[in-house]
Amino acid sequence: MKKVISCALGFLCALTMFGCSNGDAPKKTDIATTAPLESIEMPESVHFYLPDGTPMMAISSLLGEGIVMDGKEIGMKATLLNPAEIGTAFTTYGDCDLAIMPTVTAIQLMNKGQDLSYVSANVFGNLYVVGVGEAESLSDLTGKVVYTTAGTTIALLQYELQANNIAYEMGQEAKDGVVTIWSMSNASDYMPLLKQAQNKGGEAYGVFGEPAVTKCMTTVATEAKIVVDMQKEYEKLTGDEGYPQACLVARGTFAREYPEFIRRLVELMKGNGEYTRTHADSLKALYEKAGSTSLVGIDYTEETIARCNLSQLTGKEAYEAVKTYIDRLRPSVKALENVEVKESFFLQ
Amino acid sequence: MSGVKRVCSALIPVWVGLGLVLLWLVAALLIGEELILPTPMQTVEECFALFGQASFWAALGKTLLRGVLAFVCSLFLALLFALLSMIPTVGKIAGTVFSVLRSIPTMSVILLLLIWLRPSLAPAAVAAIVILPTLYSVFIGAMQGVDRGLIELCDVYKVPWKERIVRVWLPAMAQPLFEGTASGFSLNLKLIIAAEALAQTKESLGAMMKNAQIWLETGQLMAITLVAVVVGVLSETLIRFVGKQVKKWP
Repeated sequence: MKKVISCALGFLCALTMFGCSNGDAPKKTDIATTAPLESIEMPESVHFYLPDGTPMMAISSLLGEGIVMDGKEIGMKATLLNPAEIGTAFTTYGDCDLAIMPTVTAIQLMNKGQDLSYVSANVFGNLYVVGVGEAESLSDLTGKVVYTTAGTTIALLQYELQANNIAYEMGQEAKDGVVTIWSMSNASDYMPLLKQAQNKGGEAYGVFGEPAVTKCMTTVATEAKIVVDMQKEYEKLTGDEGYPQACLVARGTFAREYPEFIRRLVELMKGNGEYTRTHADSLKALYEKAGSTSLVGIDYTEETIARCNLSQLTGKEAYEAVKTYIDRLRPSVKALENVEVKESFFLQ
Repeated sequence: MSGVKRVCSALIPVWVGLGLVLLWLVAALLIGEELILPTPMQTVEECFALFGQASFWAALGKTLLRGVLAFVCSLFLALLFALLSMIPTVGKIAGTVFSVLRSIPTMSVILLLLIWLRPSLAPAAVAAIVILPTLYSVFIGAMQGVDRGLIELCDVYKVPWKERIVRVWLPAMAQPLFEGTASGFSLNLKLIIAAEALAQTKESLGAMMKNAQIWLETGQLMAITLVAVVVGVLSETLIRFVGKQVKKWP
């Protein structure tokens, strides 16, 4: 009898422990290791610099829950910069420890001799051709004008057109047989043109990044649709699921001084994608509190978050993907002509 | 003025230029970061790299063409309004309109025209609209500077209009006119380039500057800036030289 009861109690115990385990869900805030925190050099606080928009979404979990390691909270500050400033964040701001920036910018800076470390890739492409009209694919854009911003956006569009043998040229007038690319300073400059086309029964197409895609389709041009998923096009051409569009970069001295912190931060940020999915209702308030202007006023649906392609590859894992990405963009961007993607840039 | 003094006086701009370059070099060395401020030597190297690109010459040519067209349009309109302003009522109306135009923030003009016009036209329109009140004031000031006594003398002796214009009006107006035109042209060029950068005008110095900034090519950005400065200074010098020659007309 005693044996039966002992076995039953043991079984119940095991059942309880199994039922209480979290399975695949990552620990939300606490990263523990075998070594106690007191014996490892950790920063008191860390300062992120990043542009507004999807880069902020890449650190949603950190903004929402802070950085807690072994029960100790590490102070965190996030400063938003104009996208044009992010390239000089480490040189202009002495307290910049970490930055979220375009991968292209990070690689360029490292080639210019900046002491930086590529910590992880965090956004795997959020660009879409959105339009009002009949076009339904990249090839349908022939004979049409496509609005885009400068930089990586136009470079990627040119790559995908070229790789698909679709002729293009820069201009402002639609021309038979070519895709006319009209470059503007900001996506907000051409978003109203889609609305205008909708009102007049015309056509207009532009490249937008999520969540601006959602903003365009839900509040500005409600009849607009996604014509081209540039990530899927990239996958067809390279076999890579998306491209390492944005990344986390650490100041070299910071990475060398606090390697364990960086390692644990990367672990912590692995849960960011899941965090945005499970906290979709509170994202608007979170970003507003963090000072964002471009991420507020948007309802974060499952589709919106999925289209942001928030994921993570560590520096080591991202090396080949970054190499492919830069090589693909190189023909369209003179500034990337002599840029090298060295393994030493990536945190191992 | 003795020969030595004359030479020294002529060399002042050279010394000032060298002084500015030295200041630039010191600042660049103190900052020590090419991404933030390249040295003059690095910038000159970038200039030579630019000179080898056909796209640079196309951009320079088109920017200058826009600048000249915008300026010539402003010049003729300013002259027309200045002449019409000799009628007092017209003068008051024009004065008020130009006063309002002068007060509109330049950035508002640029941003509004970018909405209304194509990127290829907007920069020229911006420059024309912003420069027009300035040139109008220059013409009015020059016309008012003509000796009234000489004008009355011409009336008394019934001097033909052609003679009055060539021998009285033009010589009296030449100095302030060319001075105002010289600085007006430089400002015109600056506005064109600023508007081109915002509008991303195809084949333009402004768009080249914007792209250089996006791709962190600070050296190239400084090189294009240097070219724009040299073009501006040369234009001013040329216009002033022409003005001096016109003053020498009998």
